[in-house]
Amino acid sequence: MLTMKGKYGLKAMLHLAGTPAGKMVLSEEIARTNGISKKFLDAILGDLRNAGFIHARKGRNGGYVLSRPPEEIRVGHILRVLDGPLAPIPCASRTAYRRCNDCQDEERCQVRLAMLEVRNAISAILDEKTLAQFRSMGTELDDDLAELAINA
Amino acid sequence: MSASRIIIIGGGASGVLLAAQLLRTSGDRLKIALIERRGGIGRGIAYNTEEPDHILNTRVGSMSAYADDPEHFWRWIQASEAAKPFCVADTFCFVPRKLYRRYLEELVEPWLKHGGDGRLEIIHGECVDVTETDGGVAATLASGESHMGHIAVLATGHHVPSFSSGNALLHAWVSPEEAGIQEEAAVLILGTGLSMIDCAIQLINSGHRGPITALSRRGLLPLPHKRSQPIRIDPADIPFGTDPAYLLHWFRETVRWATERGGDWRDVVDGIRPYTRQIWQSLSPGGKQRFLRHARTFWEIHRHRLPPESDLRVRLALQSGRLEILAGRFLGMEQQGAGPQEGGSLTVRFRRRGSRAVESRSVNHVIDCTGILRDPADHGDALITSLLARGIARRDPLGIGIEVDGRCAVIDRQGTSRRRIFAVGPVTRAQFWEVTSIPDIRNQCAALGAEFAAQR
Repeated sequence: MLTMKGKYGLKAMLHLAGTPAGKMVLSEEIARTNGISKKFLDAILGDLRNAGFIHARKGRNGGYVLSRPPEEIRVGHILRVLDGPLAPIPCASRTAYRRCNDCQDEERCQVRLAMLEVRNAISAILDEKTLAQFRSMGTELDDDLAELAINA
Repeated sequence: MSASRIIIIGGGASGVLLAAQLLRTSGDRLKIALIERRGGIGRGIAYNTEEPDHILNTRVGSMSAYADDPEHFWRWIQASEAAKPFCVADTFCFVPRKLYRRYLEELVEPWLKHGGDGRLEIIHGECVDVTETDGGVAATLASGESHMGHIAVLATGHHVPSFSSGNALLHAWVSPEEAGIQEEAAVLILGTGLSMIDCAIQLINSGHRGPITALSRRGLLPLPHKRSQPIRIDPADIPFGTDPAYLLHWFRETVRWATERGGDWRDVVDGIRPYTRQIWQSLSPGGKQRFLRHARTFWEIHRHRLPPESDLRVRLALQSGRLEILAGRFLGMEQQGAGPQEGGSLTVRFRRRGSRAVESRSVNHVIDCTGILRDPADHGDALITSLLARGIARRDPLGIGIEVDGRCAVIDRQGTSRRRIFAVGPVTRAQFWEVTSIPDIRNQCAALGAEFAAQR
């Protein structure tokens, strides 16, 4: 499941991807622009920094910046750090597996087996998508609409 | 493009595996020329040993030459006369490396000129250059003769320093006799990994009685093999693209999780193994550098494990005081009097881990067993040196190999993939990281075979 944490983390990464390379962004600015509580955002940015996706600098001219170009950052990789191994239900994971309270046989539970397939499909899609591609998704729609308007 | 003649440069394990893979899967029209500078094939640094106690570091069950036929080596062992003297109860056993060399030699017999269909030509000589022409490639030997083909594949293996008897620093791949080490001599080995263990075992077997000391930054020895049951891991479980420190934390958490369920760290390492290439490729350039600097040793002692027999030998040597392990930093050495071969000595300076005091010790020989990760710009053979100088190939930014793309095509100075020059095996480690063991190399050879087949 995409949690609020995952959603806000992605938005923050997209925000950073939209700023000129090397320019530091304050967390206040990201919080304000995306309507996220600053306290929650700071915790998310801390996780992203621990994983090495962003760099942080304190003090004047400080802030956050992507550690790599957005073309090299995969959306699926960001979400794993924030939301764990992309499991739709807690037992649909191999290494961070959590058993359901009413579980009778995890190896044969059809719901779990189906959800494992689902999450592998999710990760296959999200691991192909870079942050840069994600960012241009909305703008491609604008281009399509513009083209439609021209051709109309 | 019709690739009916492929030139493979290097007849060590990588070159032989590739030749066999290509010949067995392609039609009758494909011919291969294998250029090897040593006397025979299969004699790269891993398998060019006569020492019976130099055994494979990988269990027999994983050493098949073919990715799609994992029992191939096991079947060969059961059928081969050469393997009779060795105890091979099941696929979890470790046989001498010279036996594996025999396997590599026999592997290509069906295609040799004598006794085979003649599609594989083994050319004895040192290849010093490869050039691309309009319709193909030309490989030039040191003798001046040249060989034409449609595609060239570099399988030049590990770039290790060449042995010269005048050098005070010996290297791991020379026998004690060749190096002129006296039985009583005090020996310092740099490194405490698998090469050091090979070297120490060979010294002890040759009747050496002098003190042997091994020095490395952390003084960590490879951990022993045990039967493992790899845990099942999906790509969705692995935190790709994160920093090595984060990955290491995840690895430890996963080991804890597996141990709670009655497993072992080996189950986790072996479960991750199919994804090591993807993990490596997902690291940032800085992350790769940090991995090499801080996490590589930790990874290698867990990943490249020691057969139980060798582990026992090392333990006995440590207990009896034949071998001493030091954790510390090697600072340098100075020669005292005559050269080591003439009975002179070397003063070695080092600093123990966690200490500031510089210590020195007098030894007769220093052997470099710091491993196979070397800069091709410094240690490359004549061919690699020439390709780098002409800009046909370029050194990767980490300085551990040459750059290739995901299809194993060599990348030139301009950053363009060469159409007709490819590479396999350890020389490609900057792109794939784990390409030093047979299971990884055979997968790479199978992928390259499919690539060539698609081009035809």
